[in-house]
Amino acid sequence: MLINIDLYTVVIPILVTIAIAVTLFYVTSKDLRNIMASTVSRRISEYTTLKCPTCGYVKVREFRPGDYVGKVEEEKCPNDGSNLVIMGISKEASINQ
Amino acid sequence: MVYTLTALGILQVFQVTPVSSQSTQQYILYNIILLILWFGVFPWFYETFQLWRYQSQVSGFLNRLRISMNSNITQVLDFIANRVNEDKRLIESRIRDLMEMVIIEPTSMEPEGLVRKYKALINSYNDRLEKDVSRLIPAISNSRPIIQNFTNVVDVLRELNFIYKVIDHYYRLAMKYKSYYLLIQLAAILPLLKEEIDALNGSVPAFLKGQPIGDSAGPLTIFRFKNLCSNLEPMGDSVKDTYIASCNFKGRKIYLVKAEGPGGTVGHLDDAIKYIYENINARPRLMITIDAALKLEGEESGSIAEGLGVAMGGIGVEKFNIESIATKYNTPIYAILIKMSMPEALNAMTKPIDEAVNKVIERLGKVIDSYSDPNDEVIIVGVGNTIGVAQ
Ligand SMILES: [Zn+2]
Repeated sequence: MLINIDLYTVVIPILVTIAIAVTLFYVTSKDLRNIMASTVSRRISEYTTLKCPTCGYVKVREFRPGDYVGKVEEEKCPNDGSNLVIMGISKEASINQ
Repeated sequence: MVYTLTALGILQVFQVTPVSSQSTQQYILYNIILLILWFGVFPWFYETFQLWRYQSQVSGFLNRLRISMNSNITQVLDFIANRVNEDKRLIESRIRDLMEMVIIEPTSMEPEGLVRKYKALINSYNDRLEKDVSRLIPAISNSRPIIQNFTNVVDVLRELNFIYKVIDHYYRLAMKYKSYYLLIQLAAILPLLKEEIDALNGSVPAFLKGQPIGDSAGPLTIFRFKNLCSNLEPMGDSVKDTYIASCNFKGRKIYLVKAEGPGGTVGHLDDAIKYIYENINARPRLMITIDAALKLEGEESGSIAEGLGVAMGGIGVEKFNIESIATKYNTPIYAILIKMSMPEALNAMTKPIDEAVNKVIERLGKVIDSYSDPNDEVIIVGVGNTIGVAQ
């Protein structure tokens, strides 16, 4: 027989090849997963801060479409009855990774 | 001595020296096969794997970008669905036409007058886009803020489309000429682009809803500061899309400048400042600009930095004009920056930035106190997109 199975010349190179192939495949698929991962996936709570211009009463509620900073709301201040003004709109979650 | 030992060792590893009873010919055959494997086949495998790895990164990125662009267009169509009766497909094709719009930069071979050319170009671009949008959806043409917000959305879509086309171009070139190094370069800039694309994608819902974004921190500061001073007098519509007002704060006369909200616009701050100097004849002792600035990865969102100079992004036309006026009248310019990441700047405003605005107002008071005297005039400019922030 011309070629007999030898540890050094046959088994080890084949093992090494398989190991390299598996590692490369693993690394590549990990890359792909990293690239595909989306950063903005958490639930985000958006809220609007209302303030009474005369007494400083502050109220926080969910954001509603049509809200903008500076909008004078229909809602009245429980202390002195003046209309509340939107002072800020922001969201809780940070979108940083 | 060492070399001979090493050489012998290598020979033994490759089994060139016969150690068993088999013939030398067989060993030489084994070794030729082994050499071809180690130096010919494995490196080739490796390179192919690497190429495949980078290629799959870039093509995966392009796929993701295409999906997100389509989902953005769907969001836009959903938004206008209950306002328009027209065929959705027709509107989609018109939006895609707007996305393809190109802006040709003025030539800079002879730089004389370049800033004015840029300014004229940007103004005509904004006007044209706004007109196109109101023609696209006549139902919203009576509400300026919605048109402005929608114009911002189209602008975002246009930018995404541009990034997609450029990356796709280089990817196709790299595949056409099997250029390994072009592909590596593309893969290397993907993280930076991903940051930008996340920012742009996230901004679409915020613009559609008309919510303040991180970049609105400057205008929001002006809005909140306004409530602290007395004798507030708005100065009418002397400059398009820009709000100018004067008020009293600690005995100083303050001029407040910001883009006019709540529609998404950055206004014409340079024209407003020119107006204050040349039409109202104010001679401010101090000018303070407040803007959102991109943070470095190590910096905290919502941290504040102070400095000198005009705090303003963009291609620099307005910055140039403001610097020119301030230099002409010898006004020192003070800058207050609110640090945030790119996604934070273009997405709905987060809590740390909202809180930073309150800190900036405190600092403003201190800066005015320490760098100006009573009866001085001071200009405060809130730089940024004023979406969701009225005055
Ligand atoms: Zn009250």
